[in-house]
Amino acid sequence: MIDTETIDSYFGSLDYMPIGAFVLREDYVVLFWNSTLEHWTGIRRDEIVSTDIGDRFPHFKTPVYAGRLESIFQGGPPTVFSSQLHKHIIPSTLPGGRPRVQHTIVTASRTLSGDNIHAVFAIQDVSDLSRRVHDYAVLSKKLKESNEDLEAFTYSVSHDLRAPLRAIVGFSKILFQKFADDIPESAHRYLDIIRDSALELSDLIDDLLRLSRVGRADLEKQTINTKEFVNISFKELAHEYEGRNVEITVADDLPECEADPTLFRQVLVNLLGNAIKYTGCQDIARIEVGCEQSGNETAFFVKDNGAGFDGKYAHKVFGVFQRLHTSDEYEGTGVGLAIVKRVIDKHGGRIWAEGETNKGATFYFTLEEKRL
Amino acid sequence: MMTIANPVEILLVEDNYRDEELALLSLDEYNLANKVEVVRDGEEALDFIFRRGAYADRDPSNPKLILLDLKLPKVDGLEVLREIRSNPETKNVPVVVLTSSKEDQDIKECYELKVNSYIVKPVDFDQFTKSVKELGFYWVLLNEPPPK
Repeated sequence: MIDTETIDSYFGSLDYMPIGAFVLREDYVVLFWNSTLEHWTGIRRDEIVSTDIGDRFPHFKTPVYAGRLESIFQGGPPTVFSSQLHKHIIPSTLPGGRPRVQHTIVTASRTLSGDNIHAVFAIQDVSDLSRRVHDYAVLSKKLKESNEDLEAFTYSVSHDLRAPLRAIVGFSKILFQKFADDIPESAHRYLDIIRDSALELSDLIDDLLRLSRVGRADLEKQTINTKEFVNISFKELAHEYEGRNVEITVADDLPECEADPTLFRQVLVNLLGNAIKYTGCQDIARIEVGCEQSGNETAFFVKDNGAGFDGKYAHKVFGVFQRLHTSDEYEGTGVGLAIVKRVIDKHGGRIWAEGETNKGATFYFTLEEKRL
Repeated sequence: MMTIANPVEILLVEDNYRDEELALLSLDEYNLANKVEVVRDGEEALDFIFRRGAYADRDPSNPKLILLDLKLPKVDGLEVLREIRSNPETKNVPVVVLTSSKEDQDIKECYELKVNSYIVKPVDFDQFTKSVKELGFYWVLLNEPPPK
């Protein structure tokens, strides 16, 4: 007969733990069965204690289990029945009807009544975790598939979408060259419109591909000489402000920054390019690049005295295809600032804009998360 | 005018017939258009290059230039380039990739396969014409091809 009182007082602390716990004697007789297991299985302690575990759960007598329990009863080291291989050591179901996934550790305990060694089973319910691992695997598979779709889509756009445009531009030009005498003067304008529209669409495709490339690019941060990058970017844009009166000021104290050089260059070219474009109507265009320190955060800025924008639309300037000016006033595809924002986001920084109609615009950005 | 011994100076691998016409118009500015053989997909290109199928009886000399599109039916341009480069008979033939794609991946792979030049087809006609006719001029009239 088993002295349940002694045993309960000894293992009682296991009763209230959020794990399933039971104790086996060398002869596979159950000595203790905690309330968590009662709850999981519906088997009460007084029903199962003093019975052979194999009566209800025959798998304990199979070589896989018996072999390892033998070693425990010899006083061997703790053994694990992992959730991957032994999911359901004490089969039970969750409220939704799915099986409860279990991770079990068995340890030898010799402290009760002298020489006898008992096996103490501690069973963790890892159903949630294993469901999440499963969900995660499903999600990452889906993500992989949709990335592949996107790659294929981009590839096709990159290769196929420009060819028809080339034909439109090319053949309207050939039409014009070969039949110039037969085409009335008034129709020349229409041919120009066809050509310009196709070229515009081609620019749009280029910009969209650039945007998607920024999204897919791996970030390779380096220490950047900001001032040098600004100067190079201005040089790259020189053809856009040739013959105009442009005053460029670049602050001497621009600090170095940590950024991906290719992407950072893209940010500068887009921001400076915008400043150049939107100051097109000023007698003297003034473009200033500087930085402001606030706490330990450095915000770079590009400021111009151009067309600016109505401050109440400041939140819209970074959206894809969002334009605050008509393309008659200023050319553009509405993708440039979206690219800038995506690069800044990738760096963990922030970007924001201030502006006033006809009084210029200032674009601020940081390149790392604000440290508190 | 140079005397031209080789009946086919340029192999143009192009599946888009409008691009083909634009390319031929451009090459014609240096009277090169009649020295061009046009094939429509990668398989035909390989048949021509390695004198198989319909091209089994062609003149055995290599073209002075292969203008190769990347996205092609049946066998893509990269595969065509790979086969050209891995055959001792053709490994030195100048190949210029002429494609719409500016994807870094495409450019990188082509250079790894030792392409001689990678040209992105401009959408603008004037630029397109200029690129193609200069390509033709350079590789066919100016450049000394690898010895037979």
